[in-house]
Amino acid sequence: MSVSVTPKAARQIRKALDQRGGGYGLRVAVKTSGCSGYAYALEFAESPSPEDLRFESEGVQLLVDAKSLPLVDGTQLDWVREGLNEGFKFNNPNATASCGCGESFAV
Amino acid sequence: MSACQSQPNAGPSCSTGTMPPAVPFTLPEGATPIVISDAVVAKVSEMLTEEGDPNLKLRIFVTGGGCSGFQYGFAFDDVAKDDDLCVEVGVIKVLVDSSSLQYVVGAQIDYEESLEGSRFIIKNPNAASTCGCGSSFSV
Repeated sequence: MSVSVTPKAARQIRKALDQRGGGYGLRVAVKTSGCSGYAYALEFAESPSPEDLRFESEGVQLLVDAKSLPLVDGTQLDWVREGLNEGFKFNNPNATASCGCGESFAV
Repeated sequence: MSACQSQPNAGPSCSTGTMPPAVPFTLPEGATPIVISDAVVAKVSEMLTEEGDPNLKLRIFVTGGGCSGFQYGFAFDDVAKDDDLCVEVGVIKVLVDSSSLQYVVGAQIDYEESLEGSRFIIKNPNAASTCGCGSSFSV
């Protein structure tokens, strides 16, 4: 089981860590919420916890807790620019549906 | 109906729905068209400097599609059309075409930067439901 990042995502993670003055790496977690049942959560990590699994990809450290890992196994995190917006994108082979968010609404 | 329907894995935007009708729209008298935050002004002026073209305007538009039926679009445009609403805030100009305007009257336009990414967002009082996720999925 593993997670990885693209070179672009790795650059962005390093930049974000530099801007906040350092840190161990990026924590990738899954929470039960959002439109489709689960939502990704990203946060800076100062150090690994005992229940974390550690992955190194493109020179950055990624932490995933044991509960989240089956839901994100094989995920590649990318950094994409869509129009004027940019952000992380999760290419998750486990996801059967996803929701292209914030941009969509009903009246 | 649930607040947000998920669609089969169909790429970044969930679906291409029907286009909003191209009905000319007149702003009701006294209505606040749109509210632009300071963060938008700061980001757009920074982007204009990067682009090297101070004449570019931020265009906000609504198209059919997405999980909930309509979706917002943001782009730069150097030409204002006759039926555009043009809002000038500080050094930036914001355009909304008249058929999109009816869906966003009174909306607040903001710019958010976080670890997850940077994006223009709309707080829209006309929206009955939104697909307001960081990034949501099902397995």
